[in-house]
Amino acid sequence: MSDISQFSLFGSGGLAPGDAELPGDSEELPAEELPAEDLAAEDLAEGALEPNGRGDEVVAPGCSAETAVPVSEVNAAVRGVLEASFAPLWVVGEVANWRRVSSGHCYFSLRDESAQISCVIWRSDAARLPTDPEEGMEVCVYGSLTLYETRGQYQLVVQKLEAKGEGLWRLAFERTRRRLEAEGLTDPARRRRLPALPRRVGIVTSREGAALHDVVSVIRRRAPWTHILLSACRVQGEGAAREICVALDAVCRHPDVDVVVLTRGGGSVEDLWCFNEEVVARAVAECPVPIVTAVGHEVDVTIVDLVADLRAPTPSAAGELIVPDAADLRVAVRRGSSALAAALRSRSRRAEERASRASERLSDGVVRFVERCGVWLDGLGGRLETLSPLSTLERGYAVPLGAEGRVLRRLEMFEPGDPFRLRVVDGEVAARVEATGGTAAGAEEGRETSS
Amino acid sequence: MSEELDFEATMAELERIVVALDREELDLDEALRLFEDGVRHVRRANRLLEDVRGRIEELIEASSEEVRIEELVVDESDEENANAD
Repeated sequence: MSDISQFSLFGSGGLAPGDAELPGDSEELPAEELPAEDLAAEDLAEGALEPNGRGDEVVAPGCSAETAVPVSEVNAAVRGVLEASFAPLWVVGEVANWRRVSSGHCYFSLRDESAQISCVIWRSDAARLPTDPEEGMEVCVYGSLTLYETRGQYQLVVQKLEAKGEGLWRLAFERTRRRLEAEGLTDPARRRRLPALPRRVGIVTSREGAALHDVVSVIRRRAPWTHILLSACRVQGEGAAREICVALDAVCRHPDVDVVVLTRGGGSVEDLWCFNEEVVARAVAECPVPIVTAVGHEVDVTIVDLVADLRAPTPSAAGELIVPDAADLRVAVRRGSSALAAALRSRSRRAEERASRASERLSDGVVRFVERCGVWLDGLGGRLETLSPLSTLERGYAVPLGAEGRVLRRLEMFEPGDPFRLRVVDGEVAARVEATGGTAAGAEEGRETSS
Repeated sequence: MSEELDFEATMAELERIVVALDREELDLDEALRLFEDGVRHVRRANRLLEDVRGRIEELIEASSEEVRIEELVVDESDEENANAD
């Protein structure tokens, strides 16, 4: 409280005209208590004290050695003047001596050719920066002027820091990209092929966003049999990065999820920023199933796109890349079916050809067989001829045949007076036995029968 | 469930059959048997494309351990204006 009264004391007349109605009571109160005579106070706050305008008895503090003001009071007063005189403002300059200390606060200077201001960004605001700016980077900062009393140094307490254009985002992007690249995580060779026909598609996005609708309706239209599993998370703002990682992990662990799409609709660089965060990029790179990213519009390339297996320009495009079109599949089935029919036709044609070739071969064989048989029979006939008794008869031999055509071979088969027939080459002769015994005729007949 | 999508497997099998039929070594009986198999696969593939409709669900984390799945209703209309964002 005493600080404030001191501040009011010094600040009472020193404020810009617009600030005239600063605490009215404080103008009077100290004026009563303190002597107002030392115009040196004007050095502290230019034109601040107007003891003359107040009344002759008023004596300003610090007007004399007797009323000297302690350093801390001076600083407190100056701080009050500074803070009250300047609304928060944007300042442009170059960054110098950037330091992020272990507590998370950042200290730096902002300068141009001829001047500089000390700046600080408290931890909570520093955490929102995509990355630290580079030395000499031209930035615009938004903050409040104040005085760091301990050192008597005036400084700008920065709440926002923006590089020209998207400089800081670009810088953060490049830094993260380089880190991931150095680990080989952006290597195209790491990219896996998507399954041709996923059974279940995992979608990681916000439940409310247009992206979910887009992906789902495209999948439904093209491949209505596909199961869809949403793992919802916030896709912008603080904490979104962590939620994305958790949602991604959960959906990947679910069985049957063959492919995952990480998506969100378009937005500003800041809206899309969580997709540039290293932790999300690493989660995408480590995703156990193939992953497609579709973040923002076609022109927006984010860090996760670099480590994903496939980057789709938009959520709808992701749907088209993930599942095939049923119409194409029907064509494929039709084609398969005709190929099957054609294969069978050609197979049966081959069988027919073979059968006709076989029958040709068969009939040829028969002809050749018959011919061969003829030749064989001819030969056989010749040999039969030579063995035939007819040729013997031809030579003049005769065969005696008894009753029932029995060949009479021995003497005892002849009884005197018996009739018999004699077979000669061209017919038979009726004959009768005259006598048997060792006659020449009998011997001759015996020889005949034996031959 | 075994019906559930083996469209790919079905088509792969169909292709295998066509290739087998094109080979000479098969005897005719075998070829006919394969053809019938092939026809069955064509029917099956068509049925898979016509009949099956996938589920749309949401993964809900009931606790850090337990995970629940619930049906999710998503407007599936595919009009262009619905896509505007």
